[in-house]
Amino acid sequence: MLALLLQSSGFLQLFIDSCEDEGCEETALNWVLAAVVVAIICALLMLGVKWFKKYAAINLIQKAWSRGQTVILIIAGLFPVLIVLLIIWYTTRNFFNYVGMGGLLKGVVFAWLLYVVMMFTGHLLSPWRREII
Amino acid sequence: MRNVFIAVGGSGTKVAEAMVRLLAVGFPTRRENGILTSAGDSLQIWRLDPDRNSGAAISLGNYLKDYEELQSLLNGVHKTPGIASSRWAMDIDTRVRHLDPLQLPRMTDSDNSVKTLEGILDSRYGTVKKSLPFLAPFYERKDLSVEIDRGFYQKPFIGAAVMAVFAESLRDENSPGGKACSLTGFQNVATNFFLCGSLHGGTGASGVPIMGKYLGSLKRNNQSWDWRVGACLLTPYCVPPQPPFGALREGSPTSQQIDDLVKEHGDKPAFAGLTIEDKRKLVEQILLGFYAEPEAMEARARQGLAYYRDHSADYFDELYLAGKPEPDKLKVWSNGGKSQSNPLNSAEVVAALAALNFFSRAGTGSPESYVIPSSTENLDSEKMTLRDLPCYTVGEDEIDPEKVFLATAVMHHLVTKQIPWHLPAKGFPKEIERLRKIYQDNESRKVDDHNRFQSASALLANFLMTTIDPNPQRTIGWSIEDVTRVEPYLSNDPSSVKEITAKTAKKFMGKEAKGELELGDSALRVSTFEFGAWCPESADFTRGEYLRLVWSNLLALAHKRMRVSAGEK
Repeated sequence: MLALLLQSSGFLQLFIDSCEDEGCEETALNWVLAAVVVAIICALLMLGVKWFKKYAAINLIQKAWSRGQTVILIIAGLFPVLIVLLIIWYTTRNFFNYVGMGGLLKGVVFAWLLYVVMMFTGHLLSPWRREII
Repeated sequence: MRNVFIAVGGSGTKVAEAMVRLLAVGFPTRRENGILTSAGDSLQIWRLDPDRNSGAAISLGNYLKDYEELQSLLNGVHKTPGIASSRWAMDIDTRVRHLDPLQLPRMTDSDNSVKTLEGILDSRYGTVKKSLPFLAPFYERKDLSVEIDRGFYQKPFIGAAVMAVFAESLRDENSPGGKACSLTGFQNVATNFFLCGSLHGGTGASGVPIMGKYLGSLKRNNQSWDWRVGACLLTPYCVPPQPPFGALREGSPTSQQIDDLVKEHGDKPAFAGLTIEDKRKLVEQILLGFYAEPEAMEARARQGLAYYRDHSADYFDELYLAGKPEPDKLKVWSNGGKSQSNPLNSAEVVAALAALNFFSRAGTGSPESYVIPSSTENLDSEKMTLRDLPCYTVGEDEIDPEKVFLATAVMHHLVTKQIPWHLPAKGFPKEIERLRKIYQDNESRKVDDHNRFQSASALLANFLMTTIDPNPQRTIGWSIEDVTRVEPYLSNDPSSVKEITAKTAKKFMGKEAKGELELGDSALRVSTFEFGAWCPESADFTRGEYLRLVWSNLLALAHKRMRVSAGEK
């Protein structure tokens, strides 16, 4: 379903500023895939950070996470998503040329949404659900 | 087990206060389901003293109020009126039974109404004929006419006669004393009776042997009742200062002499709160020599011991002796009443420990022999530490007071600082799963428990600190060493909390705590993760039950640490 959505040209057009040259849809797909991959990696990274912090907690107070702490962790994860996507966008000629500034912003927002959904899902599917709902 | 503490005179009352404090702090008297506790036992306090409103009685009343509040904070929903009860500590009937030895049976209103020795012994109560001719050879005129409603002025020869009449009156359930004791309620009930008073005073020296003899003879005649009678005798452990002026060498004071002295000394603390008439009476008492004479205390104590050896010791299952090599010097002189408000003495805490040993039915030595008591080698009785206090036994366990204080102080820290109370219970980590399960569907119970634990902990901290704080307003005979070491465990100061938190933190690899929590020679090592696993099995436990489980586990760790240390040596 997600793959079909990603591959649909209408959806891909959203992430690209100019699509006059041949192969621009492929560039858009790559950009979306990059956003998806970055979102997944960052979500896994942030969940890993949380697991490690809890594992390494030296007392009950450190081990117990409040909803506020969890939300801050999720928000903190938005920055690496932004930074990594910026680097990828800037260092890849096609992205810079075709995706443009508008596509960059849309890609970042898309990655953020995906990251947040995954963070919530990760919590909901684990014993950490008590720390977010 | 039912316990009765009979506080005789001012010193006995101070020991009763010390015992209430120790029970509040957590000192156990029994083992129940593997947990050392005093909960499940009950205690009545009887106070045998003609001085109903002495400073010591007021102070005892205040600590009983605090004890009651502590117990009610730690209680579940059930509460028996007048009984301070929870699963944290012994149930204490906070209504002290005042046994006034001057409240004697009367046939008419005029019987036993004058509170002097003559008024009592020559009262012609009922069919008793005038006894003054028999009294004359034994007492001087001034002994017979001095008012004795503020004690017996350290004159046991006055107190003994009154106490004997009073003890006899207890046989009658309708007499004032008989009603207050209500001894029929103790028939066929296993009970520990423990008397405590000074060996050198007036009320204590006369009241303990006579009451002991009375209870001991009742026990002998009714072996099946399973009564035990014990006592702690306090040898001179503190001496009062000299009165503001001395006694007359001979003769009686004139009215002019009394007026002059009232004018000169009437504003001094010993006369505070007295009417002009009471001030005159007090001046007269001093001039006639009716006050505690420090020089005679040791001799009186020696005579008292000889009396026990020859006439009284056999009536007791156990007799304890507590005192100090060098008595502490009191700063304020008083001749009884509200103004006699001495701070708690470390010797009184020692006597209270003797009472706990007796209540635990430990037994000391064999009934056929003496056990020679001893203190630590380098004891400075003016600056005692918790490690100088005697240990006692509960079943197979030796109870070391220093470890009890450490366990309570650490429990205070863990319960108030190391449970994530600020979070919804569902967010409690799995290491504290039992509490989470209990609270997660009942957040209001968690909030309520937290608030009550906070209030109870504040009271506990007060009990801990005021028992050993060498501030002369509070106690005498303690070193500053222990109080400065206990304080951080009870403190909200961030640096203290941080320091203890660091010690209770677990090591990165492994479950052991990083540091040791110490007090004097005692130490224990506990991580908050170990602590988190301690919770009673049943879901409907009281707060007191929870604290007792945590405390018992901490004491076990302190004992374990001691054994490890001994092994290392």
